[in-house]
Amino acid sequence: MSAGLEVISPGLMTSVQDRGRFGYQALGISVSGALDTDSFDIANALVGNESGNKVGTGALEIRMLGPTLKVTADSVTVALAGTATAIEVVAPEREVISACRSVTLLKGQVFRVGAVSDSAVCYLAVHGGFDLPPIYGSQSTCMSAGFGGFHGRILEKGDCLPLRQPVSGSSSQRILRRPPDPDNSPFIRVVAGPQDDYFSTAGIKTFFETGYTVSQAVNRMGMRLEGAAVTHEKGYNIASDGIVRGAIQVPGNGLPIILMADCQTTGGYPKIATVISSDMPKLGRMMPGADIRFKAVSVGEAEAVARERHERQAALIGAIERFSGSVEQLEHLLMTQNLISGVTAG
Amino acid sequence: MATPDVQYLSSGDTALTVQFGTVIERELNSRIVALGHSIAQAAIAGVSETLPTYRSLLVNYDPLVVTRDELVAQLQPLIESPPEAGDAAPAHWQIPVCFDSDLAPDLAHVAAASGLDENEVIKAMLEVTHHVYMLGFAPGQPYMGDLPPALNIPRRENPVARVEKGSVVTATGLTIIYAVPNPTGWHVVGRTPVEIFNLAREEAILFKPGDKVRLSRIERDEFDELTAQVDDGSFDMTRLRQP
Repeated sequence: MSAGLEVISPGLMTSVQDRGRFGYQALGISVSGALDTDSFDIANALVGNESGNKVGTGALEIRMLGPTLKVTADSVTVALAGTATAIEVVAPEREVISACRSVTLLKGQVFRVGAVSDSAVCYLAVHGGFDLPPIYGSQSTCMSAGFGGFHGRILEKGDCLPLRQPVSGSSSQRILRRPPDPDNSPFIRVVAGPQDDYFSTAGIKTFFETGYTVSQAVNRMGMRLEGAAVTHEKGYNIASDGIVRGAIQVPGNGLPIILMADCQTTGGYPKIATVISSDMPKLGRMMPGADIRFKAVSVGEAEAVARERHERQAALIGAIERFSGSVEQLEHLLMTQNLISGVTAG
Repeated sequence: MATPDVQYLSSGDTALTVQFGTVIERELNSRIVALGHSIAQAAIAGVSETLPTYRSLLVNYDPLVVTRDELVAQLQPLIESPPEAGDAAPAHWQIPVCFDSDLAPDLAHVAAASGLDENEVIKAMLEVTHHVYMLGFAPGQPYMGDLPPALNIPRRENPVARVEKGSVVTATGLTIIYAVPNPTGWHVVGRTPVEIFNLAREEAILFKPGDKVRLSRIERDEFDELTAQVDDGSFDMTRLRQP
């Protein structure tokens, strides 16, 4: 068994994802990739993985309940992002490692990410990434077609995830002292179309003026919404066309389905609107029961938001600091920001 | 062919649906596939990939590199210029299909809905040289047409949860061969032992848009034999290619 991380308990739905599988949609290959790319990027930056290429380095996407993992390599540097949940080292000695900082764990240590209650997904990155073969240029797990990631599936008990660098060379750690505040507003910005002309005026009004709730039927392929039915005007069958992540299709029952990272490449239901790329990470974090209100923006506005998001994300990653890794220095760093004392609210 | 009257539909801020029409038509589809090749050759900054479907081309782009308006300005001359030949000439395929009733549970329904008998349905499917309009829904999965008008029958009212890979399904005058097990809203009328998608193979995906596909009838013993060959890796893929 190659050295890496052994899965003691897999969690609810843990899969290897990178930024996605680009360039093969014409062959029917889904893009896949992290649902919350913002947190994915932060987790990778915290363990020092370069973000130079578009695909990025595969990390574990954790859904609702995280895995318990045993270090079988000599050492590994890991970091968790996208949640306030901590990494708990459970053996041989108990230790709690807060999110948004890296930690180097040694052979034999067992750690876990427990129940995650503040986001549907979060990311555990490892320094150097996993030693898993890229399929069509990506390590993302495509569960619907059963390839990529770890044998094309979610993790199971007993799996051993091999590491590209089974010894962590790093003597220092990294920390993001001010993680972004979670955006808990229900607003999701969309661009109308490409088939908004298939819906009645009343249907469009329903879509934008009533609220929806994320149903229990949510996975990496799609998110079914509950709420008022949107009425069609020209039927609900189109000659199948290409689908992007964030497309909102409305089947015959009138209830919108937002297509997510693992969605099929083509589909035959009319799409009333498309979530803007900048709001896809937020959507990916939304849990069943969350409220959604759609807000229409123009493509020009969406492009401006994309530029702002890019700069904000670059600033966040630029704010990641190195520290020696000692508890004393960590406490000092946190105290200077008053995050531990809670005296200021920022 | 005159310059098609295209519509630029926004698919959010990262893709543009260049729509050539609303009907499924071979010449239109060929223009779309050709436009995909033209865009790849033009290497427009910010365009990451294109996805041809029956009647439109999805153009994916990075809004940090190119805006929608800039992209449309660069696409327009490519659409107006005569279509270029694609990367490769269309390949011709012959795919063996068994129509035994346990592999074709919906054949009786398709016969009833089309007013043909089961043998006439099979005959119609065997006589058509299918045009691969697009690959979609699953890796390498071809959407092909066109069957005679009698077979322009609606999809199922209620999809079935799973059909096996290799299932040959039909609805709306079109034919699909399933790449991987999946739910379907179409009617299962046969099965091929051929894996149209297999990552272990050098050419994991068999078809490309624009290819031509004929189905050939095999009996159960041959289906079983070919299935065994596919499973043990001895199946000769070259026999599927027609000159």
